Amino acid sequence: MKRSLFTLFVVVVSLVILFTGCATFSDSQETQETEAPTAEATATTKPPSQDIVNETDEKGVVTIIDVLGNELTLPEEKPTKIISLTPANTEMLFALGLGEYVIGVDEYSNYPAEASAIDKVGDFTGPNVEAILALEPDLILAGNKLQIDAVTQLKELGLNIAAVEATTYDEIPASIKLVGDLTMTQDVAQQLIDDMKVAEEAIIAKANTYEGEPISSYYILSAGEYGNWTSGPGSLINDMFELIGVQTVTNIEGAVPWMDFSLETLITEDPDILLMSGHAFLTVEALVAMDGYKELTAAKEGKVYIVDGDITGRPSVRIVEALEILYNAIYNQDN
Amino acid sequence: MEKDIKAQAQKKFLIGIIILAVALVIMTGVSLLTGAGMDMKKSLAALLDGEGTASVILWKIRLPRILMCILAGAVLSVCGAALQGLFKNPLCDPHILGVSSGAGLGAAIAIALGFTYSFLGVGSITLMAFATGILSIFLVTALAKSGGKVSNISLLLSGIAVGAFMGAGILLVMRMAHDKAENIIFWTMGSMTFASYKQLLYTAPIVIVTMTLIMFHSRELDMLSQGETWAAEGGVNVALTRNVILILAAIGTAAVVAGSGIIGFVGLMIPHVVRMIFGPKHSRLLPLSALLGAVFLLLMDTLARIIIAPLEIPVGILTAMVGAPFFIYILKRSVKND
Repeated sequence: MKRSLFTLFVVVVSLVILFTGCATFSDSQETQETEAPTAEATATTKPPSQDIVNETDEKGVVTIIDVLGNELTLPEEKPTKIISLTPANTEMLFALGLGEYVIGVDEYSNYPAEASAIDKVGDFTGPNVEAILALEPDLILAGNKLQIDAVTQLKELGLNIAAVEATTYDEIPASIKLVGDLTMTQDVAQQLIDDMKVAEEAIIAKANTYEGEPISSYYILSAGEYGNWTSGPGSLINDMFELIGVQTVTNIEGAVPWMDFSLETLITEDPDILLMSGHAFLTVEALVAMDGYKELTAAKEGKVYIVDGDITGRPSVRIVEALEILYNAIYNQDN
Repeated sequence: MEKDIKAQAQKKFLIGIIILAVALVIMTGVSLLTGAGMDMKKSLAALLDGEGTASVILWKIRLPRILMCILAGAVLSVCGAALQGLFKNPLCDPHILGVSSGAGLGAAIAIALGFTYSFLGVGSITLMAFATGILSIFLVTALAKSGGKVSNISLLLSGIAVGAFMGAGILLVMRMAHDKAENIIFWTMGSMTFASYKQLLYTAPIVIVTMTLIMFHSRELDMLSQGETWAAEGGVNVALTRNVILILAAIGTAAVVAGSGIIGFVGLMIPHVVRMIFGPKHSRLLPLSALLGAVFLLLMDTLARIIIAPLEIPVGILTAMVGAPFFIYILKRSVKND
């Protein structure tokens, strides 16, 4: 009997040791994992940003490379039956004036309003291959790494599909340029990119005039019983905060772009401002009354703002609007 | 001679209780001092003389979570032990009767329809999860009934069927309310992070009462695990006892699932480990399972907080990943000893 109790004890202790050992292991693995995709993303997305001069072979066929590193040939005619598999792609297509040629979108494409009326060819479980085939598209615009399986499958079926969605803020202009190339609307695309750059610089210039104490913030994707999901380094949100001189408290070691964050770390970091996505399914009142959150200085001082998660979360043409929204929430609190 | 064996078993039981109680106290202390927000040294300083942020983390974040783990680990293990005895089936666990998927479906519907009311400070999603969790056990028993009788095997099968049905229901709700799918996924992945005193206020009484009531049925469970005919001859009202145990187990499990999501493997594994060491008598098995379950879940949750800090991992992932190999080790060892 004593022996079995002792064994139980030994097993428990060795498990603890094993797992504290593993903690460091999984830690380093985690960082590797987070680094790897970023490196990969830059590697695969570099080409479109660098290929301002697209590669032309001897026969005069121009090839372009999408964000997954797939080679595509530049179209000879303007595509007129386009399917978009992400809300960001849909927004880009409409901004390029191609709305009337979009024949299929995913469930979440809700902007501009006309997009909601277009046939749905995918939802949170992924693109619906059969529905896509039935529409006989001449161009399909997919997302990024998240849709790699669908891209491979549709490619094998002989469809003209390109992964065009940016992962980070910096990749957005290249993403718009890529869509412009694929739809033969290069001029409009370039105009959009230039306009966005001008608007972006204006916001950054405004933000640079701020002379007070540095402001820190935290973005709430969900809270409480939904888990404390937030944005981390490498996410669009954190990139935008950095541009307007705001420190995100999740920019710490071990953090990943999207994560279920430790509540006690949030309390230790105690951000000045809380921004909550409209998708968080919570009112400001409910949030500031929530255990844990109510201890935060921002909650006590009522510095909690809801932002439109559609605008702030999509790597597309409205990202400058998102930047403006974040700027206003952070610096124009008294207005 | 027989008296000697009895006395020895009793002594073993007492030693077990003491060891596990001490382990629980130590684990509570360790857990209170461990976390992503503050290192152990800082936590210790806050424990001795704490104010401000440090004491908030210690007493408002860590302590309620620790208490919730203790309650959840204890009640899941007790329910698992009782159900294994009741059905004479070693594969039973508190989730087998469809309670967890039922609770999940209730939560999914509440989220999809955007319920926002609350009752005595309990949110509508938790309430709905609790209610549908309990409801599913009635559905299971009703379906299992054939010719006025309920057999163990039909109960288990209908439990599995209802569980699968409810699980599919969750997916259906997610598909129909696609704009809330994200919220439903987040909820079902929910873990101990939501623990608060408010949650403890309603979970603790439910859990403690159901555990106590189940323990009152130790003698009946002993006899039922020998066989129903045997139990009936021994004066046990088989149908009544079974219904009482089923409903108690459903209530206990639903209370945990509604607050903390599905935590697998604890209710399956802990009773077996206790049985291998201390024997199958329920008057010993149930309290020891409660204690070991509490220690185990607390240990796992403490690890869940720090392994990939500042990220949280749902504790259910760890209970299964650590529990399964540990369980197999214990199993192999006991087979070898036989």
